[in-house]
Amino acid sequence: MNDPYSVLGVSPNASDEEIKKAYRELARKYHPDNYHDNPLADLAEAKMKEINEAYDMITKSRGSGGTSGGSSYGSGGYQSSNSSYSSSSGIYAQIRMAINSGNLIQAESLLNSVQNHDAEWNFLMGSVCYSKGWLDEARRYYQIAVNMNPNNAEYRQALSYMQSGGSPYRNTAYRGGMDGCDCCTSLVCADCCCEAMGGDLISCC
Amino acid sequence: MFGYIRPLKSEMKVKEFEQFQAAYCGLCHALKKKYGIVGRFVLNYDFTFLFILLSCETGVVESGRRRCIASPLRKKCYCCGNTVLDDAADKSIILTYWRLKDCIADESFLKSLLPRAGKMLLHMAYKKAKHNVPEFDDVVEQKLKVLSEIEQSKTASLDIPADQFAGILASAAAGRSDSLEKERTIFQLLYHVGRFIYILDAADDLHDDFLSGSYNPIAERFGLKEGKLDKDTLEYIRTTLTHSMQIIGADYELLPRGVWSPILENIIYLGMPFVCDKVLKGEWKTKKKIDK
Repeated sequence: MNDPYSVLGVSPNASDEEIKKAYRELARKYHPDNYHDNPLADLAEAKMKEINEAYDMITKSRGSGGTSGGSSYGSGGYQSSNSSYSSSSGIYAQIRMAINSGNLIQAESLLNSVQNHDAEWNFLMGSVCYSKGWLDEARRYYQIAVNMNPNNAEYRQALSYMQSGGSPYRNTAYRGGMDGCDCCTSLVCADCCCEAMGGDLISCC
Repeated sequence: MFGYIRPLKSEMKVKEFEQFQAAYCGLCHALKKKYGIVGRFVLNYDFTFLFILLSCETGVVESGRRRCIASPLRKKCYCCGNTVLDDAADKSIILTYWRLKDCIADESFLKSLLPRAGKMLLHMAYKKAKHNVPEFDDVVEQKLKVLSEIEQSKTASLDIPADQFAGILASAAAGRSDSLEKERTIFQLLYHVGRFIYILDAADDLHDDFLSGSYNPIAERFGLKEGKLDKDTLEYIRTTLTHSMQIIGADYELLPRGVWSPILENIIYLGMPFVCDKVLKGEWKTKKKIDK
């Protein structure tokens, strides 16, 4: 294995706090939420594992006992949603398995063999489209799935993911640094505006 | 080709800007060396991005200083001695040649005179480039053929035509990396860059296409009759482009780091959102004129 400090991108003299910060930053970056139905999800998972192992190794060797944070990240929302895949029956279970293993051609041909295009069919077709990078089609299929079965949380979640332009489900304030316009920046901007108007939002600056 | 994929200069450090310029000049010199003066005319920001991305892992950049026709007095730094540069030069020639051919087929005789002249000038260069990267040329030819059929059928799907275009760009990833993982990652990343360019270009050309009566994927997909984006469609396009950029960012993070990382990060996280915003606000074409 690589040097755990270089995996986290910190110097061996870094403080526990710095290491924790670097670890959190990386874990957020490679979180499964950012790679949902992405054909490169396996690479992100490997990266996540490497980071978790490096962090565990450092905390163990330093005896700071902060290992609990390590495992909590990697096993995020998607593993749990994957398990619901296996619970459905028949051909849809096969299709879900094909999508999960990245075999999109098989998934698509199985989908084409199904006559009855119900909500589940549309949802799975949306997932296949998403993995192919066909984001507009994916959104249309998810929308049909939600229209047909508005009570299904999985469909609704997938649709709202598309409607948000790919922000992770759980925390919509975080947009992966895409537009450099995170919560803090907005606050500072708001502060500047207030100051310009003679008021103050953040008292220290 | 389009010039949408570029850094946001105001957010760059001076050394990063100089490095980016060295890449741009390096590609220009490589094109001149391999293909003569006509090679220089295909140079643009998108191909510079391609070169930088394909060399993302590089630790040190070999460079020299020289004068050129654009800077006859002051010597400028340029990248050299690099097989990735040659590869990017070959692919630039092929992409430009096929794009010109595509334009000729689409336009009326009078309007096609300029692309016709360009294509004739590029013909020798194209033959040479085709010899260097035959597989890439095959992919471009085949996908553009399918794309033109799709466009003629005036499909109401946005992703079906975009997929062909994105596939062309993605195929530029082939055969350049030492590892399969890296190649897969660059393939996926370039796919979404291609999708981004195709859709953004459609938004940019919406009004012109309306005036000339040409096919426009966005107009067909959303049934737009007046050659402009209504508020809901604009939001929809913005969302789907943001999503592509989110995926590009996520894919980029899986690539190894090297000397080009700060520049790639600027292009992906700042440059692309900036250009996207300008185009969707309808300010891009006027801005480009001012810059020139």
